[in-house]
Amino acid sequence: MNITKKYGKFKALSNISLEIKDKEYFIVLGPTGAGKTSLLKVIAGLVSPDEGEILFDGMRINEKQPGERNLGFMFENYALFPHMNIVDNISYSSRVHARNPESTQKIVQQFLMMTLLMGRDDALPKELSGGMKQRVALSRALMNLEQTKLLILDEPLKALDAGLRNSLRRELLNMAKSSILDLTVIHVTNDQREAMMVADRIALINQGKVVQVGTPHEIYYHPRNLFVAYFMSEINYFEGKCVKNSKRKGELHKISTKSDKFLKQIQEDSLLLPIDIGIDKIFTVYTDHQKFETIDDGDNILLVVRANHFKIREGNRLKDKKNAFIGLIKRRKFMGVFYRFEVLVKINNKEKRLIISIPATTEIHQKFQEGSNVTVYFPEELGIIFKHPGKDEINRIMSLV
Amino acid sequence: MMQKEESAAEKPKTKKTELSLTLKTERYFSKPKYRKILDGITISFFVLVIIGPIINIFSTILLNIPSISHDVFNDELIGALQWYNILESLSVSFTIASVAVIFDIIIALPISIILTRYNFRGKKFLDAIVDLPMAVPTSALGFSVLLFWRLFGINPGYTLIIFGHIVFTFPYIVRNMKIVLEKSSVLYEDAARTLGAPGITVFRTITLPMMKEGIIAGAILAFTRSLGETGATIILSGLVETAPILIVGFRRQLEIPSASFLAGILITVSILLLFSIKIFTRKVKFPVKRIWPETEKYLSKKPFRYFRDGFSLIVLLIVILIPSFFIITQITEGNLAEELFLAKDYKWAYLYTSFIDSISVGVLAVFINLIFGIPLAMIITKRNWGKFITILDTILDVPIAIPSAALGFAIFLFWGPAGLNFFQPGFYMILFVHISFTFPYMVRPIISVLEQSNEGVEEAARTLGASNITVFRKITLPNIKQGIIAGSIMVFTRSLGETGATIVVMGRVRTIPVLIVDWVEANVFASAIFASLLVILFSAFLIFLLRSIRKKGDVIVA
Amino acid sequence: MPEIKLENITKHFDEGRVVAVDNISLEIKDKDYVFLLGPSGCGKTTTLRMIAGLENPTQGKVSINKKNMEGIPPEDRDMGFIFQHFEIFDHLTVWENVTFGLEVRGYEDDYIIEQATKALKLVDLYKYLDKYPSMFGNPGLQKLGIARAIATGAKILIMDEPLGSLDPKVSRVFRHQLRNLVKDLGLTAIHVTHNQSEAMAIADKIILMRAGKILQIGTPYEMYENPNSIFVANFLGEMNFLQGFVLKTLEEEKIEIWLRLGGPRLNCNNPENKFKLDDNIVVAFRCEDVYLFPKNYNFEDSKYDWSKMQFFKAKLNASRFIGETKRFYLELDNQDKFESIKSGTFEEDFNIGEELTIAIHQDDIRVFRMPEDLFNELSLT
Repeated sequence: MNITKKYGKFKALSNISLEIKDKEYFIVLGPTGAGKTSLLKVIAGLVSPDEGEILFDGMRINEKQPGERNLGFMFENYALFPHMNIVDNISYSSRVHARNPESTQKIVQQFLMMTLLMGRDDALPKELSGGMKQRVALSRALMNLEQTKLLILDEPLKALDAGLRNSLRRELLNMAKSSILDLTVIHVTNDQREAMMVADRIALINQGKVVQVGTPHEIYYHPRNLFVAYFMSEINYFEGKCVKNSKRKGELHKISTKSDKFLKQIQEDSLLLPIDIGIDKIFTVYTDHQKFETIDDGDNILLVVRANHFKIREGNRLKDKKNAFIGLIKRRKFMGVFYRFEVLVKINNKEKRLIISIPATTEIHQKFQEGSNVTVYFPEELGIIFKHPGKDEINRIMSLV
Repeated sequence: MMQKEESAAEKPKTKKTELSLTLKTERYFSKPKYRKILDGITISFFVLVIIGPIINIFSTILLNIPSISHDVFNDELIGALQWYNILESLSVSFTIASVAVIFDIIIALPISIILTRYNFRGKKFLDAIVDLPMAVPTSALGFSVLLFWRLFGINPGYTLIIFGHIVFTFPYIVRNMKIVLEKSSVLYEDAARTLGAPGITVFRTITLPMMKEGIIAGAILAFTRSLGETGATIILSGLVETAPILIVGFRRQLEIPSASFLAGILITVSILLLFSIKIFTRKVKFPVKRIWPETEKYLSKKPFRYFRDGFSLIVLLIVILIPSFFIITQITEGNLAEELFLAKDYKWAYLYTSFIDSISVGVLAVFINLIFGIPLAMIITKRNWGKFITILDTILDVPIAIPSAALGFAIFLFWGPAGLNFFQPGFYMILFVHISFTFPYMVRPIISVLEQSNEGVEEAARTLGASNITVFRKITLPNIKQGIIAGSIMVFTRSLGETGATIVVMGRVRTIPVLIVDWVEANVFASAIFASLLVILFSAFLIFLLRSIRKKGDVIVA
Repeated sequence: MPEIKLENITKHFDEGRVVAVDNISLEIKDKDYVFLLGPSGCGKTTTLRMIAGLENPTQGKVSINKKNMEGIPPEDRDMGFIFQHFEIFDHLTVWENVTFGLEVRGYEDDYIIEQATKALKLVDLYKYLDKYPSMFGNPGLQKLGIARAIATGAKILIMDEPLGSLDPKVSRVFRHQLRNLVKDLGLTAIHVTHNQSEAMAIADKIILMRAGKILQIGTPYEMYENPNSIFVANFLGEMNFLQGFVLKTLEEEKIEIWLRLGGPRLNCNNPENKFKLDDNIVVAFRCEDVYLFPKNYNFEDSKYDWSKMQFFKAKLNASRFIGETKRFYLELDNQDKFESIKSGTFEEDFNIGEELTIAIHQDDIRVFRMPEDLFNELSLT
C-alpha cells in the first residue's frame, strides 16, 4: 500500500509530500505545533486538504469519508466514548458496519484478553488506568481494520507515566510487526527517543514542513541541518572556517573492522575536510561528496558533535589525538547508562562548556572526578559539518522557545 | 538558556520595610475566624431572603387552613369554584410549558449544532440574534408576538400563549445546548467517523448522549420560566388563565388565603419537578447500542441534512425571530405624539418615572447580589463542608425554578404588612423581590468561572507569600471578572424584564414591563410599542455587551 | 541552613477511605537536590504539598530548620514553588508576575527591582518584562515560573513535575539547566516526577515511593547499582528479569542457580547466605551489563581477566539502532527473552538469527527472592 499526499496552504501544513510504504512503521516526529496531528487528520479524512492529493495504493481518496478509508485511528488521549462501557467502545465499528454479532463478540473477548481486562466488560473508560485506556483504544482502532491495514496512532504513549511508556512501546512494536496483522503504521510523536526506538523510517516535521525523511541511521548520522541534529540528541556546536587553500580530495579512509556497517559506509563514501574552529589545531572531519562540493575554502561552517560521540582521556595529552580539546571537568552526573560531563575548554580564548556523555563504567566512576584535567576528542567520521546558517538561526534553534 | 549567575550579585541584601497598611489589614483579616464570620453573614442573608419567605408561605397556609378551606372549597356563594379554577389554571400552565419546551428542543437541536459545529458567514450574528430574546422583557416580546400573529388572525388565547412562550424560552434551551457542545470535544465525533459511522449515527450515539446535561439544564430552565411567566402571558392570554395570572388576580382582589394556597401549590410542584427531573434524568440512557446501519446511512445523505437544517432555520425565522422583532415595523402605528405627549394623562411622565424606577431596581439588585453572591459562590466552590454544600447548591436553584409571581407573593407575606411588616408594597419591596429571584442568576455564573478557574494559581500566590485576602484581591477577583460581569448583566436584564413578581408587590410604583402590560390592556398601542422598543434597544445593547466579554461557552446559568 | 524533616507523616483523604501517604519519615539536607520519584498515585505530590503547607498531614510532623511547621500557612513558609502547569498569573505582566512574591512580602522597592531583574536575567526573559505571559509557549511559561519562584530569595525550591508539561526534547535540555541553576544559587530543592530518567539525570538523592510508602532512599548511583527490590530495580532503568531456582550453595557466599526450563546455569553472589537450596528466585541484570561475543570467540587469547564472567548462549532475534545506544533483542533456549544495550560506537555487528555467546560479570547479577506476584511487581499500571 502506498500513500502519497501533496498539498499546500492547509492551515498548519504547507506543501507536504510523503510516501509511506506497505508494512512500514512510519514515524512522524516533530515538536508541539509542528502540524503533525493535522497531517494525520488529512490522511484519515477528518479534514480535507486545500490542495493536493491523497493516494492509497495509487488511488485518489480525497473524496472518501473517513469511515470508507478502512483505517484504524487512535487519538491522543484516546477519545474513548465516555458514556459507553469498554465492550461497546471496542465493538462500535462492528455495530456500525452490521457485522455478525457472534463473531464480533468473540473478537472482542480476544481483545479483552490481550488487554488484560477480562471480566471487566462493563467498566467505563473513566474507571480505567492510563495503560488500560491505551490498550482499549488500540483494540477499538484495530477492530475497524478490514481489507486495508493502516493503523494511525496520534501520540499513543504521551499520556502515560515514563516507566509504563517503555513497556507499552515494546508491546506496540511487537504488535505492529506481528505477521498475523501485517500492519502499516503511521505513528505521531514529539519524543525523538520513542521515534528511534520503533521507527523503520522517520519524517521530521517542523512548522508545517517536512525537514527530513529517512531511517533512524540516516537522520542520526546525516542530519540535513542544525535543527535535525539538535532535535535528535544533545549536541555541541562550533563555529569555524573551512581552511583556506587546503581543500583537497580526501583519501579514502582505511576501513576499520570494528565499526558497524553504517559507519563503514560513512567512511567509504566520504572525503576529509580540514576546518579551523579557533584553537591552534586544524580539525579534520569526513563529509559526503555532495556537501564537500558545496563548501569552498574560507567558507564559514558549523561543526556539530553529538555529546556521546566524544571520548575522554585523563590529562592534557593533546598531541596524541586528532580533533581533541583539553579541559577541566566542571560537572559530572551519573545518569544510569551514561555519565554526563560538562567540560570547560578554551576556544578563541573564550571559555566554552562541552557536553559529553560517556558510557558508565567503574573506570569512569573512579578516574574522572569534578575538577580533574582531561582531554576530549571525537573521531573524524562523527563530526557533522553544515554551512553556517547565521547567528540568528542558531539562536532560534538552540533556544527552542 | 539560563545563564550562570554573576557572583557579584551574591551580597545578601534583605532590607525589609513594614508591610503596607492594605497588606497588613488583609493579613489580619485572613485569620480563619474572620472567614467564619463572613460565611455566617452570607448564609444568613441567603436564608432570610430566599428560604425564609418560602418556608413562611407553608406556615401561613397551615395557620390559615380554616379560611383557605372556606374560600377555596366551601364558599357560600360559589362553592368549590376557586378550587376548580386553580386546577384548571395549573393544567393550562403545565400543558403550555410542556408544548413550548418540546417544540423548542426539536428546533434547538439542529440550530445548536449549526451554531457550534458549522462555519459560515454571519454565524456570529445569528448566534447573537438567537440569544437576544432572553434579555428583552417578556411583556415587550409578548406584545410583539401579539402584533405579528394578529396579521394572521390569531387572537389572544391558548395558541398565542404557546407561541409567546416558545419565543422567550427558546434562547435558554439553545444556549445550554451550545455550551455543552462547545465543551465536548469534537474528537469523540471524529473517532466515531473513523470507525465508519455516518452522520446520523454519530449524532445519535455520540453527540446526543454527551449533550444530555445541557438539554436537561435548558429544559428545566425553560419549563420553569414558562410556568412562572406573567407579563407576556397577560398580554397574550385573552380569557385563558394560567396559574401565575390567577395569583396576580387573587392578589389584586386581596384574596390572600386563595393566593397563598395557589402559591404554595406552585412552589411545591415546581420544587418537586426540579428534583425529580434532576434525579430521573441521570438514569435516562439513550439507546446507543442499537444501530441501524442501512437506514442511518441513508438518512445521513446530504439532501436529508440540507432539508433538516433548512427546515429548522425557517421555523426559527418564522416562529421565533420575526415575531420577536416584528414590533420594530409597527413604530408608525397610531399617533404616538398625540397619545404619549399631548394627552392629558401625562403618559410620558409615567414612562419616565417607570424607566428610572426599573433601572434603579436593576442596578441596586445587581449591587446587593454582588455583595452576597461572590461570598456564596466561594462557599459553594471552596468550602469542604460535604453534604451541606450539596444542599446549598441545590437550594440555590429554587428561586429559578419557582414562578416569580409565587415567590413575590411569598415575600409579600413574609416581609409585608401581613408578616414581619418590614416593608410596604412599593419600591423597596420590589427591590427586595428582585434581589431574591435574581440571586441565582448572579451566583451561578460566578460558580461556573470559579470551578473552571485554576486553583493552582491561587496556591502559587500563597506559596509566594500572599495572605488569603490578598490572593482573593489580586488573583481570584481578576480571574472571575467575566463571571461577575456576566452575572451582573443577567441579573439586570432579568430584573428589567420581570412582570409577575413586580405586580404582586408594587403598590403604586410601576416598572416598565408592568407599564407595557397596563397600556396594552388599555389599548394605547402606540405608547406601548414605543415603550417596548425602548427596552428592546436597551436590552440589545446589554446582550451585546455580555457577548463581547464572554469567552466561548464559559457560563452555564442553570 | 534549611533542613527539612518529616516524621511519621500520614495523609488520608475522603475521611480515611484513601491513604495517600502512609507513615513515612525522611530527612533532606541543606543544598541537596532531592527527588520524590514514583508511579502515578504513589503519594509523592501529596508529600510535597504537605511540605509546602498546601495540605495538612493527618498525622506526623513536618519541620523545617528544626521548627515545627504545624499550623503555619504556606505564605509564611518561605519557599519557592514551581508547578507542573506553571500557574502563571495571566492577568499580570512578566514583571508583575516576578515581583508579586516580593511585593506581598513588603520588601523595599530597590530590593524588589534588584531581585526581579536578577531572576529574569537568569532565565533570559528580561527583554520581555512588560509583556503578558499569553505570548509564551510552555517553555517560556516555565522559565517565568522558575524566575517567579526564585525571585523571593527563598532558599528552598519545591517543584511538582516542573518539566512534565514540556516537549520531551525541551525537557531534556531544561533538566540540566535546572540542576545548574539550583547548584549555582545554592538552593535546597525537592522535585517530584514519575520520570526515572529525569530523576537519574538531575538528582543528588532519590526517594522512591510506591503506594504511599518509601521503598528506597539513596544517590542515583546507589539506587541504580544496588536496588533493594525488584520494583526499584525495574523502575530505575531497563532491566532484564529471568526466573530460576537455587541449584547449589557454594562457598564464599555464592550460589549456583539454574534458570527455568533448562535454561543456563549461573554463579551468583549470595550475601549473608540469604538463599537456600531450591529457593525460587529472580535474577536481574542491566541491559548495558550484557556483553555479546561471536559464538566461537576465543576468550583465552585476551588480556582481560574473565574469571568472574558468566557465559551462556543466546540467539539474536533483532537489533535496533537508537542513536546513543544500540539495542539487541536476545532469546534463550527456554524461550525467555532479554535485551542488551551497547553504547558509543558499536564495535561488533552481528547477524539476526545468529547464536551468540553472552557474558555477564558475576557482580552485575542481582538475585531476588521470587515474589508472590512477579507480574504485579513489574507492572507500572
